[in-house]
Amino acid sequence: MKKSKIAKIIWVLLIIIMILGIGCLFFLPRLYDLFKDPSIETFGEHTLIYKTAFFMCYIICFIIIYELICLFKYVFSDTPFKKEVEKILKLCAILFMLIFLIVTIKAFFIPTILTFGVAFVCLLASLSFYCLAEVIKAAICYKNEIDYTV
Amino acid sequence: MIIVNLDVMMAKRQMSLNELSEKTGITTTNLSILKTNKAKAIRFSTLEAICKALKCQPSDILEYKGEEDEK
Repeated sequence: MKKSKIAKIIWVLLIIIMILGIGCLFFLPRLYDLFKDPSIETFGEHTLIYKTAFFMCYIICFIIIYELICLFKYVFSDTPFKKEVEKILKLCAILFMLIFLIVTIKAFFIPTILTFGVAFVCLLASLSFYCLAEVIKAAICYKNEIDYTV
Repeated sequence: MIIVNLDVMMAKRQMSLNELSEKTGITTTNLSILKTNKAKAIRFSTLEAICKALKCQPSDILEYKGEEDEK
């Protein structure tokens, strides 16, 4: 399958985000303090659980981006109707659900509108990825039927 | 389950896969799918071409086996 211009842009964007993300990982506490709301505590003042959850979400986002890059590779190298594509989509759905759970738990302790917003977006993304995985699963079955019709 | 006895009929008529492919116009890949029972469906036109080439009836090629027979 040939890559469209938008697909190429998204592909490059994902790689840039991945590289930037790896670079920012080491300066994460500083960046947090730089962009945080003045009313919120600094990164160092937060509890260990909060810091762990923060880094966990960051790493999960990395995995999601990496999986999306793999997804692009599978879709444009051969056919999109592969078991691997379905597996990647389901994994993304699980990872988004994980972020949703972490953010929801965080919202109980530090309730802000942004937190609830992020939780809602993650839940929507998780459900969307799961729906897409089911669509691909059905498409794979349909393709197999067609391929093995002699 | 439906069993395709194409190999049996081919052996009876002493016909190779390539020969059958040439006579029917069906690719050897598709005939292999049929022969190895991997096919999910078969078109009437395909069945007709095979029956014509092998001079047989569809029942000679297709056979139904129930779950008890499989055991």
